[in-house]
Amino acid sequence: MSQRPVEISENIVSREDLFKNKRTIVFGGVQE
Amino acid sequence: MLSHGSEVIICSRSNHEIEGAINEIWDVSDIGSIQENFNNIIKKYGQIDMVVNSQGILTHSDFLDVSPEEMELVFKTNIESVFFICQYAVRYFKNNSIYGHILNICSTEGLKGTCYPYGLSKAAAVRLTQGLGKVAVRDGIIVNGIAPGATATDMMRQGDKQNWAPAYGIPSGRMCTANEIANAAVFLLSDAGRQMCGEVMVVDGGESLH
Repeated sequence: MSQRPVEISENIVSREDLFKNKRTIVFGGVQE
Repeated sequence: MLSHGSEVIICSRSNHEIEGAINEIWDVSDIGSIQENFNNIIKKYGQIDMVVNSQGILTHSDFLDVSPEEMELVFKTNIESVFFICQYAVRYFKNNSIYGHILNICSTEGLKGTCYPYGLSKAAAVRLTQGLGKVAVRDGIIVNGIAPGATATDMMRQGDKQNWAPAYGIPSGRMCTANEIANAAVFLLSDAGRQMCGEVMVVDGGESLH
């Protein structure tokens, strides 16, 4: 795979907004 | 993830009553359906930024009683599905220039010598996470894992489904809670963890320390 431009981590400014406008897909939920 | 602002879609064989989350009924051990279902989820809900592989089944057979069918079921659910979901997710992130995250929920059972399907499948999940973490980061895709120790989920209830398995040998004196695993997930899925690649973070109250 080719190298993409480096992204530098940003500080977390607000816990409530941490994943604002992000979508997560979780497989499995609770392990059975 | 929900309490931190993400929309969450849970894909599972059964319906989870988690307020605010979307449920999709999907048996990931049906390996042949993964690509189509993955594409359908994206088509239905839009861009996916984070993928969490939390599927897993635990069987209790003694070594001499493990059948080929049991081994196949555990491996399909615990590692084969994880492999192909990771493959589709990396391809999707790369093709759409998304700096996505993948988190694989492994287990401390995958860090020990074992002769049982669960631990063997989780050992493979640990190695997949480490190997893919190194490869995918070249495209800005972050892959990490968590190795929980004994955690107070339904999977760990004993016998009559009322009693938790005893917390023998855990230095902290108790099993982990689901929230404690979730805290590690939030860190690894956030940009705070963006320089961590192929890390399998142990959360076990010191159980696996020697």
